Amino acid sequence: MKYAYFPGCSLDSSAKEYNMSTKAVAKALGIELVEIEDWNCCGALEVGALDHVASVALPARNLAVAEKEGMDLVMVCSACFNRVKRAHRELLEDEALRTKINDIMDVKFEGTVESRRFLDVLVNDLGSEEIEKKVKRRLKGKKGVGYYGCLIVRPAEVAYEDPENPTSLDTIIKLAGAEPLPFERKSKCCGGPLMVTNEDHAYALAGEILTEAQDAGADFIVVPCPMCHMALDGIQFKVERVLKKKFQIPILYFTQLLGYALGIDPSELGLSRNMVSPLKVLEVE
Amino acid sequence: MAADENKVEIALLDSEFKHEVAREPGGENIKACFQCSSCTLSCPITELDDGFNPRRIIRKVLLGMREDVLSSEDIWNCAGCLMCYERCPQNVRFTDVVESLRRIALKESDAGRIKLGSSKPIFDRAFAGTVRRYGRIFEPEMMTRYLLFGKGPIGALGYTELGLRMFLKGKIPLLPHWIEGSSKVRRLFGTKGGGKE
Repeated sequence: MKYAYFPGCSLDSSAKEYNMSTKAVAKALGIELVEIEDWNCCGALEVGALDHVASVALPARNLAVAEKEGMDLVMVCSACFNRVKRAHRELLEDEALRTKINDIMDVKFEGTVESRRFLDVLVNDLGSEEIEKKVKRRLKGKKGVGYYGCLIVRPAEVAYEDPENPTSLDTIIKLAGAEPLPFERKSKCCGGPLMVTNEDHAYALAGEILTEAQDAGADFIVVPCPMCHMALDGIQFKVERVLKKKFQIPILYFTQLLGYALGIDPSELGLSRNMVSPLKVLEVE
Repeated sequence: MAADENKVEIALLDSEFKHEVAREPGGENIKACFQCSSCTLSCPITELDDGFNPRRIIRKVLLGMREDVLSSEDIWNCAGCLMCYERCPQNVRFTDVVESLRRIALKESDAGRIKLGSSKPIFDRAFAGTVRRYGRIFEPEMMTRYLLFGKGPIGALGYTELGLRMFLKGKIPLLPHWIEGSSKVRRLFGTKGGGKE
């Protein structure tokens, strides 16, 4: 199994542990991820508010590079995935826009490959039975919740599972030997996009998710998105202060949890880079 | 909310506004709204602040309350969670409508015709500015620019602890990564909006 890989800007900075653990998990499962050459930012949620053409052209350039390699483009960041997948659809549906963008790009978009999520590749291409054969460590007696966020489940036309009741992260939690708990807010907004421009809203929304997880008795939360990770792990100390609560709930990228279950060395999963340490929950010495 | 804030000045309505929004990418379906409120009932921001009301924003656009909408803080407070987009029975795509309103608001603000209601566009431009320059985001420059111009020096101070914590975890790069094709990425941005910082 071989895919073109677009890590995205966060995975090069604030979410390096997501990049490390993704590569380590892919290697352990025999999936080859080939990082696309000289990739650019996808534009995320911000560029579209300034320049619509650029918000489609930035993903188009990365897709065109993957096409040259003849491989589907795989992403792990939810914001990258949502932007690229939505731009991809627009490029296929709007011929005038496609022509305009191909005219200003150094490479050409033809529409010959798919944009995919790594989680989708794991659960649907490889399958949990195949993954289970390689599981070496189990988190017995631990409980976790899967927090999916917004951008991998909505809109329905870009999602790869039921937008009202996604289950792929619960599958990962089960594979790791822990118990996935029901989680009402599994795809309610964490406030991430408002983290620096409307902090009050961001703290309130992240606080709701942390509170529900704590009340449910979760030992950890599993996420697929660097922005959600920042809202729930990066600024958890601020949310605690504003809400006058103590959480200290570790927030794991699903690749960190799966990597641990696959027996990968914790140093390769970047576990010490998380703000709220997951080492105790994972029983790492 | 005081009664006079809800008053609609008929003489100030711009009946062209809904067409202007419908011509903007993302705003195409706005005229299909039949005011059912599914958007507002799905909205996590409305739960925190009942003054934020997607249905009302759409109604204001349809009525032609152009300046009121474009200079409001509301259009910058949508988190883009897509819940309303997913649940709208008329496929209005409110998340995309907001994006189209933001672009029109920026254009009007650049022309000096309105004052923007939020510091969010300063963040968006700081973000896009680093992408234009390097081909990828460079957070330290983006955040410094946003905090100084969007929050002011005092507001920026509130971020020193988070910055320090992130730095100690190796989450803040010291140097930007210039991609080889950065000049080619710059060409993807138009002269309007995206380029201006």
